[in-house]
Amino acid sequence: MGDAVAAVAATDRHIAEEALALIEVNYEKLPHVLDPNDALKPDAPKIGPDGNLSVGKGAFSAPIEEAWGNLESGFKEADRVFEDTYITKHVNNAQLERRVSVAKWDAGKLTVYASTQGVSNARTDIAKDFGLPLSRVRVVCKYMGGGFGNKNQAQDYDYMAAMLAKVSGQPVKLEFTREDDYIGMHGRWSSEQHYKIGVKKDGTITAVSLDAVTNMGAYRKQSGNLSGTDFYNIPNFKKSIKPVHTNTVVAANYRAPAYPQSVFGFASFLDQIAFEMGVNPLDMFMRNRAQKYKSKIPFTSNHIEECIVEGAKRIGWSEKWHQPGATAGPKKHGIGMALGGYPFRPGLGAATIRVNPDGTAHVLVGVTDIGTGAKTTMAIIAAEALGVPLNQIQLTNGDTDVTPYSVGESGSRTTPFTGPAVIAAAEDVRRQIFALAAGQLKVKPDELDLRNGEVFVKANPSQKIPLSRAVARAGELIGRATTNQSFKDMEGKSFAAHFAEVEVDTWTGHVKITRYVAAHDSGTIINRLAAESQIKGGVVQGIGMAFSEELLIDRVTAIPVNPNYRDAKVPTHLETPEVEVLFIEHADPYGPFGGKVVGEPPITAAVATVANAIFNATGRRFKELPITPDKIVRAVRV
Amino acid sequence: MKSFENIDVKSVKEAVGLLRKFQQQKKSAAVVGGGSEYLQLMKDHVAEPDYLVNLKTIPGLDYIKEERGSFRIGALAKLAEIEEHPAVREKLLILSDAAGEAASPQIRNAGTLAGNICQRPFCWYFRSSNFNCLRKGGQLCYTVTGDGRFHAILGGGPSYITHPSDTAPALVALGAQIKIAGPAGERTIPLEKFFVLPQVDYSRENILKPDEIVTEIQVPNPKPGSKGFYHKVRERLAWDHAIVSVATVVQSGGGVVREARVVMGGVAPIPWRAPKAEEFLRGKKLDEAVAQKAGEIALEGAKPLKDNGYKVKMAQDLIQRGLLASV
Repeated sequence: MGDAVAAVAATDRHIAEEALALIEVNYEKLPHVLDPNDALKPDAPKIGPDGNLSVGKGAFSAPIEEAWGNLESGFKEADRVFEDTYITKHVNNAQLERRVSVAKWDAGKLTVYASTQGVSNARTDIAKDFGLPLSRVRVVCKYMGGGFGNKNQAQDYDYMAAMLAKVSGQPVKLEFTREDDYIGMHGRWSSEQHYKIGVKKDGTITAVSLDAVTNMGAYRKQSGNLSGTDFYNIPNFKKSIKPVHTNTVVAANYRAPAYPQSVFGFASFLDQIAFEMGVNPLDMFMRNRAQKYKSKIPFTSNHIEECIVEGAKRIGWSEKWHQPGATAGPKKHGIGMALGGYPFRPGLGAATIRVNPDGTAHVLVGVTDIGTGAKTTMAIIAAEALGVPLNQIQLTNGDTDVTPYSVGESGSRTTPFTGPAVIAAAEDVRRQIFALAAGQLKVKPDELDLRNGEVFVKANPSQKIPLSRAVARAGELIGRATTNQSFKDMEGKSFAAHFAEVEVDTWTGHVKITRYVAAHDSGTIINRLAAESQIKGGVVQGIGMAFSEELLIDRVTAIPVNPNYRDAKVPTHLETPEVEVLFIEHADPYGPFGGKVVGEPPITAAVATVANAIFNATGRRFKELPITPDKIVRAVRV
Repeated sequence: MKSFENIDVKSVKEAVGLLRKFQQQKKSAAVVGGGSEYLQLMKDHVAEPDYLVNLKTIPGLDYIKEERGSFRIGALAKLAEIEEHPAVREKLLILSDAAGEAASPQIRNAGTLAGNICQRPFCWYFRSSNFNCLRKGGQLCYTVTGDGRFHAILGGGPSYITHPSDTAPALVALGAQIKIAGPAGERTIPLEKFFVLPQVDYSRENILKPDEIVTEIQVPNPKPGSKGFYHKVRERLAWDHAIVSVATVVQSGGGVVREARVVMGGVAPIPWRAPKAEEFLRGKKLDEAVAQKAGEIALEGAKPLKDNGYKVKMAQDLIQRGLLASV
């Protein structure tokens, strides 16, 4: 499903649309299978030659299996063992900007203005597609209207635009419709998660097993993993996840790909177990919070406990929590929480800083600003590292002919990958500045510092010259760096604890989120406004997934029923609460200026948080997303 | 979108004349006021008319007048104007509430009252060009085998759409009339008689002929002692149609109900009036038990599909809430 069949270029879009409608395609109708469990049955129609259990390579192999400790003895230690199944649905990334690409050829050189989350990857892919050396391809993307993980590299639409441009000898702009975008790219993999959890009387987890299927659609573009157990201390663990092929829309990366669906399953079930064991959910989550990764590997920094404590304090958990369903009348108050986060790791980054003769600086980075404020963040890091005021920094980004390599703005990698390169490039150019200024100030270079645009002697700060004077005759100084930091035998992670209060109208099924507190350990916050906005945006996407979004495929025809904003029900401002963001700020030793990651963590906890609040309000556990009015009315009234 | 010709008309007569001409020439034509709803059908390749007859250029058809105990609202009056009109807010509260619940602020600033009443269904099978459904000339109502969670529980078959309008249930509850212009002149009928059930004709939602247009809505002022209520349940608070909506108008006197109107949206292919519940309420003292019973009576005969049984209880609850809010 979603394969490109034909592309037409024309002098205007209406002609192109009418021309497309004139193409006759004859399809041979084959049997289809939509449900991943059905797809695994022996007599199911085969989607590909290798069968419906997706067998990829390396990270994409199947089934995905992982284990530690001793599951059997873990369950033996338990006072009670619980088993249940949680289900999540396919939701689309639904970024505002549909797929769009503009391509033109000029004397054998191809330029693509792409809507991509990574100009370097896009260039590599396009060059490969056309058999061109990298030097003959330029990809430009300075800003774009969001992707949330489904614009990581060059895509079919870049190829189509470039091919049509080549054939027509004209620049070509290619744009997907919203329906093309929903069907022709990918969304989040749906899942069916079966858990078995052993706990002691006080709620302490002794063992967890997870058997799951994830629906990847027709192609395996990404892992299909489920990682929501990452935020808990689980001494004995085993998981087996089967990524399955079906005749549905492809599933791949969408903001924290393996997390919100599995956090929903696991944190909902823990909340349920807390209820059945008579343990307050706050104590349940606190008791079982992650202290070591996979119960043995130390974290580079971990302030999940402080997130829980401060978040609970802010929302007033101890005063507001009550027995589930305790409110009288049809409108019921509820409060809930869940834990989340996302891996933080440093890696390959590159940056160049040019210092002009007037003391201003020009930073060059390959990052595209996908809506996260990355451009400003890079400038802030450069200003801090260089010692030049922010308003003296100019930044050029996202152009493979001009800017250095970037890994791609996905996986919350922008700041931890490119940030250290910006710092290193600043250090490189500072050395050159100090070499010049040393003669003018009649000291050795290593006696100098640069702050606020002034070079001064560390031992005697009043002995100083403006940067502009230090570099006036240098023409231009260029600092550059390619960095590739890593750490061993440690795990990096940003953590979050989310809390929500809701009012559920059990007669109409309407849920109003009356308060939302998101406490995050993302290390040092570098760009505060942008970071807060990331948290709010992630929560809103989680609310959509929790309450309304779901891509439906018609059972009989296998045609998508609601591939659009109207019917797949992306939330609006009216569903969106004011999100109170608490940053629990402690520098991480491995992050640039102590920063970890911000972009992906907020969506991970949001879905389970509101689901748990709905349980506290209604006393009913919703084990299948989205939690729509019909499900609430059915559970409470019918 | 397929290419089409837009014709800005200056009068109702010109519009009707053109529609007549296109019909004789066997050309397809559509009438638009605000155009917000029809444009989407065209973009989605569900409607591909040769001509658009644009009424927006008719001067003076957007009036809202109160005279001789009745409101007259021109077909081009915008939803936002009805939502905010002080006299409508004061006297026809459920109409301004219903207009304010429709769509989104942007659409309400463009969409007209007549257009809201004449909307095509928002059934996802109808709205997708990938499904050639019964209502578009195909063989099947896909709801029967597919996903009918938002579809009709009353008056359905062979098509199971629900009428998408917010203002229509409120107007029926207020006893509104609708004025229609055609080649033979004008006629005025109760709005309740305007809508068509699928068992009568599953290709259309109302009685308008291809050469007729709506020119005016007339709404009598409610009798003294009347109170109304409009509530819409939906998944999303903006730009979403009713799963269930309820419009009630209750005229009370001497501690009992003199007359009541109960109309539901989102449950049937037309705004669904519940005359038996209205009859039951007459002369009763309206308390919780009576309101609950009225809700049960209103939903008698409901035939849910496999996915939409929840709507029965939801509508009963909402009627109860509406009636209790109307005393």
